[in-house]
Amino acid sequence: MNNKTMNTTVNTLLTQLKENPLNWALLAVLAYVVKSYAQSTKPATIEAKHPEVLLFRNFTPIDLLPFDGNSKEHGGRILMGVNGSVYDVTRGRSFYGPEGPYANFAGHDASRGLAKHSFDSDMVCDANGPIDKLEDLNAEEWEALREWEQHFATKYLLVGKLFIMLSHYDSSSPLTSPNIVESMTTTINQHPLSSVFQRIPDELQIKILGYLTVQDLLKVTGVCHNWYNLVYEGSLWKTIDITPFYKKIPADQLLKIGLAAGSFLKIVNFRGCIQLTSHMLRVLSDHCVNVESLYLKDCRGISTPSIACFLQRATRLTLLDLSGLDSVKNSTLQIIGQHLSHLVILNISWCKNITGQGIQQLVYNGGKCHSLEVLKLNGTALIDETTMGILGSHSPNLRKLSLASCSSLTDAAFARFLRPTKSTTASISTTSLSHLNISNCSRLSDRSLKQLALYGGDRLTHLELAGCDALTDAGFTFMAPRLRSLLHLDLEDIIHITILTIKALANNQPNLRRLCLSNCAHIDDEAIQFLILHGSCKHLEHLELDGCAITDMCLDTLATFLVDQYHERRKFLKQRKQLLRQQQQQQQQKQKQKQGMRYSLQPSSSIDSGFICAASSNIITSDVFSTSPISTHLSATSVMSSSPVSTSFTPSSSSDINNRQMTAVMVEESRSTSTLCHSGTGDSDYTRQSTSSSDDGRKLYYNNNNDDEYNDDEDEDDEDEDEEHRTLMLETLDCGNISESGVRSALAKAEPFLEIKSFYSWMDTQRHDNDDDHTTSHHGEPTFQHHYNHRQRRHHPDARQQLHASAGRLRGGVRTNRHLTAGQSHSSGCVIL
Amino acid sequence: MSNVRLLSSDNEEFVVQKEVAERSVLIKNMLEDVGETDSAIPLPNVTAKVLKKVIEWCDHHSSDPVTTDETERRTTDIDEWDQKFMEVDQETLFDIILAANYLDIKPLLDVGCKTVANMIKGKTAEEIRKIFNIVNDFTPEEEAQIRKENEWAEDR
Repeated sequence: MNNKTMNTTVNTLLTQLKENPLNWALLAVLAYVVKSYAQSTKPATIEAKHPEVLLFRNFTPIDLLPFDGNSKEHGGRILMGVNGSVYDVTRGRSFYGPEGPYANFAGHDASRGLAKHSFDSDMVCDANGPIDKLEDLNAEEWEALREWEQHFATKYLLVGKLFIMLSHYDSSSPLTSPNIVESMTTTINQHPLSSVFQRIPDELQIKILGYLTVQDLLKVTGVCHNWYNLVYEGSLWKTIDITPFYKKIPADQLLKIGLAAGSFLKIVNFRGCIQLTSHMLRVLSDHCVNVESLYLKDCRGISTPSIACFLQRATRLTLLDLSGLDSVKNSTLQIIGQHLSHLVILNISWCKNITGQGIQQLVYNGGKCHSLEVLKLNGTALIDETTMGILGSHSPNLRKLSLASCSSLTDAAFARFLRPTKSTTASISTTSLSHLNISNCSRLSDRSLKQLALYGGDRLTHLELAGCDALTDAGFTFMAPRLRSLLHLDLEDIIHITILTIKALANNQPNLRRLCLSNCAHIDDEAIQFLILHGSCKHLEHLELDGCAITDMCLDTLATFLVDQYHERRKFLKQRKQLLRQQQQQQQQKQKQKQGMRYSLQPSSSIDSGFICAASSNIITSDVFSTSPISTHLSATSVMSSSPVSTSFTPSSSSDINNRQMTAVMVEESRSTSTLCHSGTGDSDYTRQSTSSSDDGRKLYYNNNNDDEYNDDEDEDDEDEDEEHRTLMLETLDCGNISESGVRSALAKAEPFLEIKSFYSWMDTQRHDNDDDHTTSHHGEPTFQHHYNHRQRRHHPDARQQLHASAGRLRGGVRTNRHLTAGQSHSSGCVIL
Repeated sequence: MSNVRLLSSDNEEFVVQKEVAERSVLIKNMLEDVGETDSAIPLPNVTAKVLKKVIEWCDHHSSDPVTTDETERRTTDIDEWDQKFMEVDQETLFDIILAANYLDIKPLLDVGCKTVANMIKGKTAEEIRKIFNIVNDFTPEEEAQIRKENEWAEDR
């Protein structure tokens, strides 16, 4: 039965084959499929019997040679290089094996042959030569190579790379062979698929990487070998500032960066990094010998000997910050004195274990720190007369000295600093001193102020006396008329001073920019009004009145005053403009009649827009004329900032305050063909009055109004109106007598001219009905933060700066834009925390 | 204001104001060396396409003051016009950088490098490779190690 069926089937098949020849073809295909299936499974089973441990590694062309399928040692393995990668093609023995059509490629870099679709032996380059860079391939050939690579990637195993890169820190890498270095340099360029980065030289790549932050820089080390090497090559690390991540960076990374930087390193800021250990500092001291600026503030993990070790080698240091380190001892200071003769800035504040004795070692008894310009000794114990005397007589370049919270400082010691014993002249240090901070030195009395007034030198611009609560009116009334160079005066917490001090300052300190009277409980409306309205402090732009007894009335008066000033200014400008027009007409008539008149004019310190301007005092002219024969355009720039009134409107202008009187702007006659050639000047029959001694800005203003002649472009004129006004920044935090409505109405009145930083203790109750964006956006957390900061600063003089910094943040850069946004509204004027 | 003729590598000639051309220190020095000349200055490393861009930039910035302030140049802020100017494909961007380097136009080189740096900023290594078509030539082990080393810098 079965046989019969079988026979019939065979017969049917035979007939089918006979009748239709197509079936022969189908049969042939079937046979081929069966056969190739059998063949392809065969090597697979062989491999299964000999499982190999595959190691991803890098091959040089020479390493590759034995893997051509003939070597017994390697079990007949066949490897092939394709476009920088090495594939194990043992499975394709029929193609790549010794008998296969592509046998040439086995054990070699086949890239070129594949790209060119050529299997000739000359397509395979010499294994001893450099790696084929494939630079001459055209786009089509690259395309072919890429296709081949894809084909290999899907079909065969990737077992390695065809080149070797030296990894700086990976010594565990198994690859070492003499031609590594060569192949490294060649293979960087050999990178296939042409990234744009290949086209630019390493210097430019470094330049680009140089714009990245440290975090980004470290991240890009993972992009490719070249970038890894470029990043750790050193030249990108001239500066290491770990501030943004000082808590997070692991010690080994810190060391790695430090070592990479090596002698490139100039500026190091490890501030607050407790991961930094003594050992690391020692290792770095071997490599980073060119460091110029070193901040180790609060690096508590480092020991006294390791600091000494670093400092002994880093002899190029000009800036050193060791503040807050208990491991800094007097011996450390001795080493600084002996080795760091270039030191310009030294901060050893709040180092518990140093005394005046150590400080002497810096400049005396072998100490060579005579270039010191900035010395911060805040919170140093035992600063005695001898120490101060030595500081005063052995640091000739000292500009800034900070002795805040040196509670041992006495009047006698301070006097020794200012004036060596028995001498009638000031010590050499004080002659250059511009910044002095003796805040919280509570032993200092009015005697010190008197000494300062007599011997403080004429360069002193910044004086901080906060918390010196033994000082009184007597001291300040003595000092104010004698020490007239002050720009910045801090009298915070000096509770005894009254309006007498303010009057003395107001009458004698024409340069004062910034004054702090916070928590001076006796300072009231009368004092402040006198200061602003009647004083000579026309440049005052920042006034801190936190916790003072001033009221809303005072704010209102100030606001009115500032607005009045502004309007008067505008009126003045308008009149000037009219005058200008008249002059223009007159001038055009005269132009035809007269030729060149000469004036002897002094050059002005303020030159605008490239015009040559000249200003002189007391020009009395009946006839002014000067012009270029070519230019018909009358346009001279104005130099307004030279008069006292003008400067009071532009506190930030760089005007020369001695150049008291401003008069006609004069563009010297020019016959050149320069396009800048303009000319013209006002003529005037007015006689200038000498008004500089007047204390009242408004009176002075009117006088000048009649006297001055300006020639001015109208365009420029408009700008001036916007820019030239006085802006006053008030801080009235914690003022019990100031109310929100008072601040608001003052701001509303004098918007662009007045900024008030105030703290609304009643904010909780009123914040809902206010429509001021700033207020609403700043309530809540910042308020508390501010509260906190504010309280803190009473006890920490250093916290003051933090407070300002944080306040600055909250204000969102309002201050910096002040001059630009002056014309704008609220946003620039009102800052409410 | 006299003009200068510049010849690109593909022999296209550009006539530009001397003042504009002198934004390039290379050309400036050449002109100083050669003096007044009528012949075109050959720039064999710059193609017409790129030279045109470079001239456009120089023209816009011809009156800029020369800044030598290193710190200012280090920030990656780019002014608006330059940002627009740099909105080109990668090839052109890198061509401009190369040309600026060759012609010694520091501010343009800075802008170009900043632009590229901004493209790199805040991206992962993988993203950067993709953007610039850079081949990852690390072994998986190496890559893992590097990633581990820099783990701390990842989250901000």
